[in-house]
Amino acid sequence: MGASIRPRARQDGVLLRELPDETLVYDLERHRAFCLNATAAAVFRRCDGRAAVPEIARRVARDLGASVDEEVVWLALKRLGRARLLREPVRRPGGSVSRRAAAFRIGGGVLLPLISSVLAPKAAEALTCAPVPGGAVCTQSQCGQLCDDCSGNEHCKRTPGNPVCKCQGGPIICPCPGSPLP
Amino acid sequence: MSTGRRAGSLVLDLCGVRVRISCDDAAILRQLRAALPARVLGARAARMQRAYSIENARGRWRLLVDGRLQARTRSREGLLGLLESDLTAYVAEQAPRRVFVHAGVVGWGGRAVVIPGRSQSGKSTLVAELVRAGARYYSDEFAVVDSRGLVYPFPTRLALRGGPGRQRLTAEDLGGRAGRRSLPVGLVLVTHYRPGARWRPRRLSAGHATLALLANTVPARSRPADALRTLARAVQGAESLHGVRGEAGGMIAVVSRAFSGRVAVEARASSGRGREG
Repeated sequence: MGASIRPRARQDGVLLRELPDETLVYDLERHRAFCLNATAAAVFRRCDGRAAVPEIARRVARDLGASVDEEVVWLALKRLGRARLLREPVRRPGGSVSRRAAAFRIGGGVLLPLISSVLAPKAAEALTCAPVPGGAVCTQSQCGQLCDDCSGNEHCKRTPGNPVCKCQGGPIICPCPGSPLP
Repeated sequence: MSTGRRAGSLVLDLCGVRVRISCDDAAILRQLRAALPARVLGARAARMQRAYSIENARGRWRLLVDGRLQARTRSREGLLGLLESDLTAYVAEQAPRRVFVHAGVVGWGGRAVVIPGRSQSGKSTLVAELVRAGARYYSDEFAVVDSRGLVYPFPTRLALRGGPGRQRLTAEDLGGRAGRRSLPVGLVLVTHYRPGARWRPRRLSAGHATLALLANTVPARSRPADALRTLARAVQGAESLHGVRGEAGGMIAVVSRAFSGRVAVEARASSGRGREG
C-alpha cells in the first residue's frame, strides 16, 4: 500500500539536534520545537523523497533492530504531517491508521512514534513581570497589580466607580520588561 | 581592577553585556552595585551596549534608557526595581556565550538543581526552602548556561511574595550562602505548586527536559540553534522530573534522594538536611 507515495522531510527552515534516543527539531518559521522519540525520528530520517512507505518501513526496522510494520510508518507520517515536519503531508490510501491499529503491528522494544512540542517564547514572555509598588499598573496580563500613585500622573485614567488606575496613552509607564515603549 | 565609579556613573559587565548607569546620588549607585551580579569596569571601558540614567526632579524619579524615557515614579525603591528588571531582561537576551533560562537554581552536592518556570509557579519559594536547608543560592530568576552546559550564578535578590508585598532577600538573609562557581546540571525539576498536592513525579527524557527548558528560554527565538545545543548539552547526565508539588519543605527530601540516585516515582516525605553545592 502506498508504493507510489514518497514522503520527504523538511530540511529548509528547521534545525535538528540528535540525542541518543530522540531527535529535537526546531521549526524556524513557526518557532515551535519538537521532540521525536526513536521511532518517529527514524521515520523522519528515512523520508528522503525517494523511498516509498514499504521501503521506509524496512529501513526503519533495520535502524531500530526490530520489526516495524507499514502501519507504524503511516502513523508516524500522520503525526509528522500534523507537526508540519514534512514538505507535504501524505495521506494513507484507504484512510488514516489508528494508534490502536499501529500498536498491534509493532515489534517488541519499539515504541509507537511520539512527537511532543512546545512553542518557543518571545523574549518578553520568558521574563518575570516586575510590577513596582507606587508605580503604574503592569499591562502584562500576568501581573495586574494596582496603581497606587495615579494622582498627578497625566497618563492615568481613573474611570468613575473603578478604583483601579490604569495608565493609558502617551509614554507607557509600565515596569514590566517587554512592554511596548513609545 | 579599578572601581569604575566616579561622580555620577557606574560601568558594569553582566555576563559580557556592558552598561553604564548614571546618577548623581552615590547611595543609589552603591545600592545597585550591591544588588546586581556584575563585574565593575573601569570608567573608560569601551563598547557600552546600554546606558541608563536616573534623574530626580521635584520628588519624581525618572529612568531613561539610551536617552529615552522608560519610566516615571514617585518611589525611589520602585525606580531601582524598574532599572534592575529592565537591565536583567536586556542582559538575558543579549548576553553572548550564555543562554538565559527563566528558572530558579541552587547548588546541591556540587551540581545544579534547575527549576524552570514563569512567574508565580512557586519556584522562588522552593529555591528559598532549599537554601534554608543548606543548598547554595544561584538564582531565583535565571539559569545562566554556557555552551558546555554549565550553570553560572546569577544571584539577584530573591523575590518572595506573600503578606503585603514582595520581599527581596539575599542568601544570607535565609541563613544560606550564594554559590560562586559554575556547576553541571544534576537535576531538572519541572513543577509548580498546588496546595495539598502530592509529589508523584514522572521522569522526563533528555529531549523532553530540553523542551521544558526551551519553553522558558529568553533568547529561544533570537538564537534557537544556540539555545537548543546549549540546553541539550546541559541536561545530559541530569535527572529530570515532572510533577505537581505541595509545600516546598517536602521537596528537600526529593532533591536529596535524586542526588543519592534513589529517585522514587512516588516520593515519601522524610526529614533530612541538604548539602551545599
